[in-house]
Amino acid sequence: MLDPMALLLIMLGTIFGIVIGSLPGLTSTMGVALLVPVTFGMTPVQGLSLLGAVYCSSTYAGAISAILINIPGTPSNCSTLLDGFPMTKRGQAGLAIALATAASAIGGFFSNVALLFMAPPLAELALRFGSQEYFLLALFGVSVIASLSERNLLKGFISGTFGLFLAVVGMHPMTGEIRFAMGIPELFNGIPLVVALIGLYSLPEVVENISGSLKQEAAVHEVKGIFGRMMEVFKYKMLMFRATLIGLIVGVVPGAGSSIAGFIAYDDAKRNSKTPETFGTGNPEGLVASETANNAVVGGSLIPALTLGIPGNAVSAVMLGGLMIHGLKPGPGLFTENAGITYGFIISMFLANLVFVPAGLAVARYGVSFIKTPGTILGPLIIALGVIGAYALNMSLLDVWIMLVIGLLGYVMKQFDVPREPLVLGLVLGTMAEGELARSLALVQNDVPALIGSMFTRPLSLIIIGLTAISVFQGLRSQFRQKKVDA
Amino acid sequence: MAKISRTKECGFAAAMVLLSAAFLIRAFMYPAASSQFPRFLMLLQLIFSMVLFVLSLRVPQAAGTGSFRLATLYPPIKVFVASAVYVLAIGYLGYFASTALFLCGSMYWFGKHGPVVLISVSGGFILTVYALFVLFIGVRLPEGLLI
Repeated sequence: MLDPMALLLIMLGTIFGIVIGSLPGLTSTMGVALLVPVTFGMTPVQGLSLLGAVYCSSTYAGAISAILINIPGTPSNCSTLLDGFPMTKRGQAGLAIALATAASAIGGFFSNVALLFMAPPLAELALRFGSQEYFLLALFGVSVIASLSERNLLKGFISGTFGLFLAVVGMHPMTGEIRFAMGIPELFNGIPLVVALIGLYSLPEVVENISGSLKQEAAVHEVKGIFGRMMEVFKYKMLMFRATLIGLIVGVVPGAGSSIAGFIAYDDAKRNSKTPETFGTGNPEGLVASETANNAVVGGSLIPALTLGIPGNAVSAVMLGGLMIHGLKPGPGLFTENAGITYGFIISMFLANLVFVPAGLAVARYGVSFIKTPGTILGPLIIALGVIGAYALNMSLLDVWIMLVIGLLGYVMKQFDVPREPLVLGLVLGTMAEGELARSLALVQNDVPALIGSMFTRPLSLIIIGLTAISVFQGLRSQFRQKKVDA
Repeated sequence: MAKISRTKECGFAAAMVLLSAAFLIRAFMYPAASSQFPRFLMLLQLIFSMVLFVLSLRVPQAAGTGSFRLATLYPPIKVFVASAVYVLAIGYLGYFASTALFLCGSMYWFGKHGPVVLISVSGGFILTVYALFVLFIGVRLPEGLLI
């Protein structure tokens, strides 16, 4: 099934993926797309193994920079930094990376199991999603804001609403009207999420580094024996089970994206935790939930891609291209007519999930040394890394200016105790929410009561509405409980 | 989480009220079919900001963290000024020259490091970026008067 060359390519792909994923600005999509032409001369199994390895490892590796320097390497890891970076500040960078690595491997492994055995029924679920369900899914995502807002619910809502607003800058998805772009052509397609993330998290952190306010937290980072500490992840079995399910379902739904999965899993972990008040201050549960879910998206996103030819996200769309280049036609026949290649590819994904464990931990050793660098050296390096990351995305200097402006916004938000995470959530969900709402309204000739009525007659819509109501209720309840405790 | 003073809280809420109102007015300048969602969002944000403003008036003045010190503004000013000058320089001097100057300049400005540290760190960073981004990934970095 797998030749030695394919095994070698999995290893090389994993290393490449870790480098791409851990560098802010270089996304999994970019990594896979860069290697598609390289696979031309390979057999289909070899080529797809290489691409699969890059996809798996880059999704995981974004956690490394999120944990070490508070900048998510890829948008998938937005929710990882919420507890990952506070762990680093407490001197637990080694443990954080060990847990993230193990959780990623487990999430990825079980989503591949689903890809192997449950692809047809899950693909059917993807087909049931219409515009209304997508819009409701976006609302469900927004409901997580209450959970991300700690003690500042109102400021959390302001931040989330502003994030949703920033996401609608640019072209309207149905009418094509350009809004709030200030005549800048680069903004016609909206504010790039990766650029916003780099600015929002890197620059405020650099200010802290320079001002020396992180000095007292430059604790000793224990990296010895982190391989063994990975086993601590098994303390969170149920949490990982739920996070894998969330990642898998979100992955199966085309267009939803792994960053949404991470946030929903984080919210779920917080709501079911015995110590929800410690989330955001370095609780390993938040880190484990987020990393399990975003890696579970990998297998999930390939289910509709392989069985229906509908990519679950941008990376699986590129993977689909790679598949077609090798003469394979996505669809149910893929698992019968080209069973050898398809199953070989899925097995290579399992192997990639194993290979990135030692590779990631090796990187962690050097990464932890990197953060021991004095803030006055680390700060300029982070800015330079942020600049190249923001530039490399679209090769535009304007993106770098956008990064700086959003960095300033992030700093101001930090100064006024406004949580930044709801803004990120808004940025992630805004485009989807507006686009799907516009499509849903168009389907009912802009008759809002008819749209609301139809939402309550579709079973899947009802399920999502129910989940949203539970999420909002629980979020508000925990906020009020917290307020009572504070009082 | 540290409490912030009433003046700061009121100031923030007032700024958000003004910003939301400005964006709401702007949203109404676009055709309704293209701006329903931003109109709704800004209306919502305006309401939230107004509620925050009212609530901030009830924050006891004693909850403040002390008087404002100008020195606290130096680190952010340093970081944002250095970053803006760096990005501006990229357009004129090219990526590599401006990055070298930025790294050396800012490391010296922020921490008074010696020439060995300045040269080795900036040299190492530039070589890594060149190997990874230019040679390996093929990113075309901005060129200017220098390199």
